[in-house]
Amino acid sequence: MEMHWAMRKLAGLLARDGFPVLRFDYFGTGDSAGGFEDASCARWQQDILVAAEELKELAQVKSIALAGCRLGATLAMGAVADGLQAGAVALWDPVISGSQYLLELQERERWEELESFCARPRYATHLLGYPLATVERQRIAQLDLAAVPPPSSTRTGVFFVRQRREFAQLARAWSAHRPACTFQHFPDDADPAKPGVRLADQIPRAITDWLARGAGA
Amino acid sequence: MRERVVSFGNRLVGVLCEPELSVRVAGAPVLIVANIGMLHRPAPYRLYVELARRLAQRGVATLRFDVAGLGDSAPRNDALSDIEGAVADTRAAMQWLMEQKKGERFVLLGLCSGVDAAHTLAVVDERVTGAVFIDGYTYPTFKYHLREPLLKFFTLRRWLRRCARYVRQYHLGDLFQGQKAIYVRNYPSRVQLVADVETMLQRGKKLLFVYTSGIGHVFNYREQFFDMLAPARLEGRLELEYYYEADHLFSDPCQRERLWQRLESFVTTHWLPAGTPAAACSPNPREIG
Repeated sequence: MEMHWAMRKLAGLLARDGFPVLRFDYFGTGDSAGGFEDASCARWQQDILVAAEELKELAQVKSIALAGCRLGATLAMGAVADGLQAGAVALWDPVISGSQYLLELQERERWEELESFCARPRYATHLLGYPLATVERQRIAQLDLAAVPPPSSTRTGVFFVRQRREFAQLARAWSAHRPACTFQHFPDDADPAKPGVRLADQIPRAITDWLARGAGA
Repeated sequence: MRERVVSFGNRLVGVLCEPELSVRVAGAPVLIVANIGMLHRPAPYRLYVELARRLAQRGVATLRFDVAGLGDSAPRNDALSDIEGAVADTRAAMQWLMEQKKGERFVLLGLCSGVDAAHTLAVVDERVTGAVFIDGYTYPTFKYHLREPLLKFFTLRRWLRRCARYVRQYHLGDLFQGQKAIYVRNYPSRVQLVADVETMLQRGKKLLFVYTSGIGHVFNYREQFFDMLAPARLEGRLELEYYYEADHLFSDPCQRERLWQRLESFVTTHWLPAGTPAAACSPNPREIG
């Protein structure tokens, strides 16, 4: 929900540089069919495969690149690891540890609950207001991006805002990857008065430049 | 149910959700919804997506769209203000629906800032046959002022909220410091609002006002609505709901369900023939464990 504008920005920049772009909503999210309660990471990863085929057909291209943010980035990497042929993958603040990600969401839920004017009941079946079954929680908790090294045929770029230890660990885990993965950090304190500017502008621009460089190489 | 992406007006984008021919109700109005704040058209927690699909099962079509500059719609290239632009875009939506022969009467629904365009058009546009305003305009009343300090100082939740906000501000800084207003609202005067509501009612429009405790700092009891519009006698002439357990964006799934059911009943009661059955696959209230 919150990433729609950023992905639109990224798509616009890429299109301006001559790349056909397909952005889509996963099953059960945004305008796509289905309900969130029936969605799962496995289903969403399948959606990436379907989208890739659709893009190839619509744009009449043979090679594609993937770009995703947070869980979407991790799923994109999972799709590549499962055999999707992609020339490049741009990972925007990917979820590195699924269990850590769930803890972050739970913490965010607690903050939102505290900041609400009315008491918000907590449901074992929901997280941040969205249905999330126990089984799916367990699947997310098992996600470990470091254990999914990119294939050698795929350029991989990681673009992240928060300087987390996890990214250093990820860089170490993927250090043997050839060609070497790109890690670009965007400091959180670059301009504290205008935090949105960095997200709205710098990262989509950096991803666009990185993909364009790769395409031109 | 059939959903398709549509484009109309000056490169505006939306999704038209239509019922199957077998359940379509002739002459039923089309529901039009647009953005809440800066968010794109599905709305938080897919409020509008689920609503559109439920209404389609009942035979009513819904257009959810992005006003210029938001979601997938192109930015404005004229000098209209935010509210003028939203009104113009909603008019463009109605015009397009008429041209496509999808409907001639419309129900507008707005939440928070989305109320502005819905209100403006519901007053002046004859094609608008009903409107729903969620967490719309509020004005303080004597009883509000009596209750507010009590709620402010003697409610544990308010204290927790204040502490949480301070802690968050300390850690993250004031995110909005030094930024210009990103959306400017034209709040009507209280007198104007009374006149507008009277006009809408005299023109036979069906109105539903929903308030939540998510705006508890400006609206803190159900009858505040009637008190703030006194001396106009509005009781019984319009519909009012106060969802004390709901927050502003209906993050609680039970409250969402409650809202969806209320909106369904508002539409079916006023615009569908009595006894119109819900489609077999109409979702039932879900139990939440």
